Amino acid sequence: MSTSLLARVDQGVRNAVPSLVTLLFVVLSVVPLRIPLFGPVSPLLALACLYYWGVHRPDLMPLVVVFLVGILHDILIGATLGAHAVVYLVSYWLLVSQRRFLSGRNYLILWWGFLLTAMMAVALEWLVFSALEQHLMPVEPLFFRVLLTAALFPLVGWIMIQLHRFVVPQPRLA
Amino acid sequence: MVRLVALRGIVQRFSLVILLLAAFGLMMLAKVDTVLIDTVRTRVTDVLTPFMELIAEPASTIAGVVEDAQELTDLRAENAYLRQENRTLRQFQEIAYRLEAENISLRSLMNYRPDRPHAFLTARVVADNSGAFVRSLGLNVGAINGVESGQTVLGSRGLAGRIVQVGDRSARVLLLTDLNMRVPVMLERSRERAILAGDNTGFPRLLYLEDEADVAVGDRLVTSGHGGMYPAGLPVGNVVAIEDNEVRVRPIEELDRLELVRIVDFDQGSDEAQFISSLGAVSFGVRGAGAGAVDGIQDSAVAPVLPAVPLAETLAETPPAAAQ
Repeated sequence: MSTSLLARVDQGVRNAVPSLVTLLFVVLSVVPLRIPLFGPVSPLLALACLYYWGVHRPDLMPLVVVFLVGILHDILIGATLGAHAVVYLVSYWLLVSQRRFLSGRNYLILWWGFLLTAMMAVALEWLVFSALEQHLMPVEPLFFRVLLTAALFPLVGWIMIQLHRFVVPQPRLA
Repeated sequence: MVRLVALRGIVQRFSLVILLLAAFGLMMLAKVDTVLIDTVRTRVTDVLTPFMELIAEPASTIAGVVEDAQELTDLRAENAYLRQENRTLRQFQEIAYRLEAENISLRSLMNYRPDRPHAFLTARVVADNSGAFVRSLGLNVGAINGVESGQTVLGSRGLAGRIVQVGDRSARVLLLTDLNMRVPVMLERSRERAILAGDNTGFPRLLYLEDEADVAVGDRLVTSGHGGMYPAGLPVGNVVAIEDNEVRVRPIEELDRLELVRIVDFDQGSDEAQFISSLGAVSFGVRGAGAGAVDGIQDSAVAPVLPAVPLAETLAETPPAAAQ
């Protein structure tokens, strides 16, 4: 009884890792790096996390967490609350609906899929913010934002693979 | 089993709709009731700021090492440049001394009442949110340090922005480049007035400049002091481009590289003594950061403005002295 409870708590903690790490990546993405002209093109780190878990283990990334990730992002950057929640929710939903084309594919196809996801997410971001501010936002930095986000995917992906190993239950000794 | 799966599918689809509605609802609410949203926002920022401070420290150390390495490579050229600049600055210093003396004598002739001294507070930038859609910075000081919404934020050279949100231990600065930022400015040479308006690009525009205004590339802009939000005469930037009635300005501060900023309380009616008494605690905190540049900035910021004895103490001692 106690071992099964312990095992369940253990698995519960492991299952919470994807959500917690994604929230952490949102915080990391606003750490000041003081690189000139970096701000407008700063990558959407959290999107890479959402993509990884959306493709591999969508059961560990409930929509509520996606919503919270968006809200936290808005709070941290001082944007209108809910703007990034919409961006992440729609991107994530589209991603999960296309999951069967991506799941189990090789790395390059995953990367390509992420590039498309990032393009879509940034375009959506542009739309939402332009509508909110009733002003067409500058477009140029967004190309670099997409490229930089996609370029960092291997790094984020590698970290996620390590975490994925941690999340999968360890074979227990009898 | 099949029904269960179908049900789960419906719930899942429903949860997306519910959450999307919640997100849109929040956006609407933010437009209507800003107080509630702001409270939530400041609470969360307050909780996260110490944590971000912790991450910002090593990040800035790494950035510093990279910068040092870059500087080592062009030390010679920089040295020559600095010598040249030093010579020019010495000339300016001479002129400044002469003008100051002249000013003092003229002021005494005119019976001029000088501006009250301003209180400074140095703060560390712990979050850089200057993305494509919002241009703002997070600071590690807040209401307990005497920071108030609307206070002016300066970098080491001039105006950087304005405080727009204050928590207990955190504050947010809206930068000059943000879409919602408007600063009344004046061209230093021709004294033409205009409004500097951010549009989320690196180069804000000048609005309401008269058609036949005398403006040229390179002109310096200072705050005009109109509207009372900012005091007059703070350096803001330089005109970089004039194209078909559109004048673009390069902010004097490198807004994407700010590490420490000064929050200035120009408000004449506020409780100055309280603001300054909180200064000690914060400057201690910044000094603890151990960066060499910090002391330099603090000295230059505080020394010329505050008397040797902290103003808070002199103010506290004044009533008994007057009574005697």
